[in-house]
Amino acid sequence: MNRFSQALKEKDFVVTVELEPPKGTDLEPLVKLASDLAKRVDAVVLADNPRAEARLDPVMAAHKLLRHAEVDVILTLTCRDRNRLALTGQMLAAAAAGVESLLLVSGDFVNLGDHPQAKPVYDLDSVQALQLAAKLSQGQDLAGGEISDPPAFLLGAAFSTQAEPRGAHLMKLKKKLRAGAGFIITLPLPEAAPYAPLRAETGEAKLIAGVTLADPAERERAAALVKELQAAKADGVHLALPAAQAELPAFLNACGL
Amino acid sequence: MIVAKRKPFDEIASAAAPYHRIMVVGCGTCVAVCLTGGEKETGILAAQLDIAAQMAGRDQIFETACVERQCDREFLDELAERSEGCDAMLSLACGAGIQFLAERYPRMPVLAGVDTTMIGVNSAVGVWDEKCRACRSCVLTMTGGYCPLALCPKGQINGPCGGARQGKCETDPERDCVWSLIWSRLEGSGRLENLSAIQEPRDHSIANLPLRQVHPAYQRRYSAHE
Amino acid sequence: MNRKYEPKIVALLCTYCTYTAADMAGSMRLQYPSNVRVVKLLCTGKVDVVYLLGAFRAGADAVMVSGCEIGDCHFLEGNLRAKERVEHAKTLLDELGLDARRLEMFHIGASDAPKWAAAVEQMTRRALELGPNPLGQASAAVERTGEELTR
Repeated sequence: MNRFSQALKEKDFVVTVELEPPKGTDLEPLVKLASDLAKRVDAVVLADNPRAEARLDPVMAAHKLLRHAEVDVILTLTCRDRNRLALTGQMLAAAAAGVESLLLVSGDFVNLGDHPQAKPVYDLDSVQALQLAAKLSQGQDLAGGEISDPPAFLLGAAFSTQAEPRGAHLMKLKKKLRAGAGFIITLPLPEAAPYAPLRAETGEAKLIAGVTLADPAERERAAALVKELQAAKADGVHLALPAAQAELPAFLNACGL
Repeated sequence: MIVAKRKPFDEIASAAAPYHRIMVVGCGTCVAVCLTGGEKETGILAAQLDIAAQMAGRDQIFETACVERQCDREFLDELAERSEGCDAMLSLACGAGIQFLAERYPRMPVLAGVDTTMIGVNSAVGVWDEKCRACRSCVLTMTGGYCPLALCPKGQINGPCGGARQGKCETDPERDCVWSLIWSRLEGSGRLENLSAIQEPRDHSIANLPLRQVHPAYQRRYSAHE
Repeated sequence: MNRKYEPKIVALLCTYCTYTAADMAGSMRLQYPSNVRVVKLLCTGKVDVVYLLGAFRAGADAVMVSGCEIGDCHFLEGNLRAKERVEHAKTLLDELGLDARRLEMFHIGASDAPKWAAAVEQMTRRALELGPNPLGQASAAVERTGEELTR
C-alpha cells in the first residue's frame, strides 16, 4: 500500500499540497521543492495543465518525484486534453511510473488558459473518467479489452462547495462516489463552515478541504482556517499556492503543519 | 433551423476578385429566415460587391439568383441556363447547400459567402440562439428540454462541472450554466430522478462519419439487394 | 474639360412629414441648394438597404432619408425601422470602402420647412467635402434611379 492511502486510513488529518509541473524541461526545482516537502506532507497533488495552461506532462513529473523526491504523488488528469484512448494511456503510464492515486477532474475550459484557440476534448466527463480508472483497476479498458498487470488505483474527485445549484453538484458528487472515488478534494474553502454539512454527504470517502491564499497577506487567515478545520475533525487539508508554490514550506510553517 | 452569418466583406470580395461574371446565389429557406442569405441579402451583397468592384476598377458583373433550397437538387437545376457564361457562383446557403451547389455544377468554382454557425432558434427579431449540435443521440427527454451537449462548453452529461458559479458558466459569467437550468426545470416539475443514473461514455462511433439517412418508407428502394 | 462638381443627392422622404415640409419650403420661398432629388415614400419604413445601396450604385454622391420626428410616425414605428436600416447600410458602406457620411437619416416634421432647408444644406456641404461618388457614373443615372425607386 502506498503512503497516501495508508495515511488516509491511519491518520486523523492528512496534508497534501498542490505542485505544478514547469512550463519547460528542467524538473530539478520541482524535485527539490517536493523533497523539502516530503517529510511534511502525505502526498503532493501534481496538476495537469493547470488553468488550461500548457505545461510539462504530469506523468513524467510524477515519475521523477516518485524516484527522486521520496514523496507520494496524486496525479491529476483532466478530461479537457485527452479522449478515452489517451486517458487510458496516461493512466497506464502513470501506474507503470508507480503512481497509485489519481485525481480525475473535468478541467478548466480552454478559454481560461493560454491556448484559448485549442480544441477542447471532453470525450469523457469526470464521472466517466473515474469509471475508466476503476475499470482499469479491474483489468479491463472501457471497450472491454483486457489489461495485463492491472493497476490498483485509489481514486479522487473534486468538489466545489461554492457552486450553485448545490443539489445538482451534490448529485454529480454522488455519481463520482458511485463510480469509485475514495477521496474528495474540495476547491478552496472560504471558511470552515461548509465542511461539516458536506462531510455528512460523502459517506465512506475521505473529504480533504482545499485551502489557498489569494494574497500572501492572508496567510494568517488561512492558517486560522487550517486550525479550525483540524479542530472540526476534518479528514485533511490540501494547500495550494497557484502562483507561488515555492512559498509552500513557509505556508506549512504558518499553519503549524 | 440552420443559422449562418455572412462572411467578412473583404474575405468575400477577395475570393470573388479573380472572376469576371459572378452569380450570387441565395437560398430561400433557413438562411433567408435568419436574414443572411435570402433574396434580399443576395441583392444587398451583389450591390456591395458591385460598388466595391467599380471603386477598385475591377471589371466584374454580379448577377443574383435565389433558389427555394440549395439542399434540394430540383431547385438547383433552374440555375443551369442562367449560370452559362458565369465564371463563378457565390453561395449564401449553409455549408450543406454550398456543397450541393458545387456538386450540381462541378466545373463552376463555388465560393462560400457565409459561415454556418448553428442550429438555433429565433429568440427575438434579429437574434438567434444555438440549441442543438446534431449529436445523433438526443438526451432532451432526460434533461428536461435543455441540451447539455450543445449548451455546456464541456458537454457535461452527468451534471455540472465545478466551474459553475451562481448558476453561470466558468467560460463566460454572462452565460447560464445549462445544468443550473436543467436542475431548476426538473426540480420544478418533480422529475429530478431523471438524473439519478450515471450516463455512460457517449458512443461517438455514430457521429464520426458523414451520416446517410434513409426514410423507412424508402428502405426497399435504396437497399443494396434491389 | 473640368466641369464644376455639383453633388447629386437622393432624398427619400416620408409623405406625411418631410415631403410636406419640403413643399412648404417652396411656398415659403426658402432658399436652399438645388442638388437634391426627392423621392416620395408613404413612410420611411418602406426604405430598404437595397434602395440605399442602389442609389450609390447609380452614382448618387449622397443619400438622405427623412422621416417623422421620433414618436410621430403615421405608422407608429416606420421611422424607427428606417433609422435602424440606415445605420446598418452605413456599416455596409464602411466595409466596402465608401464613406458612410454620404448617407444620413433625418427626422423633420411637416411644419418644419427651415429644418428641411438646413438638412439639405448640410448634406450638400458634406457631399462637396467628400467629393464625387467614386463610381463616377453619369448623373443621368441618378435621375433614373429616382424614377425606379418611385415605381
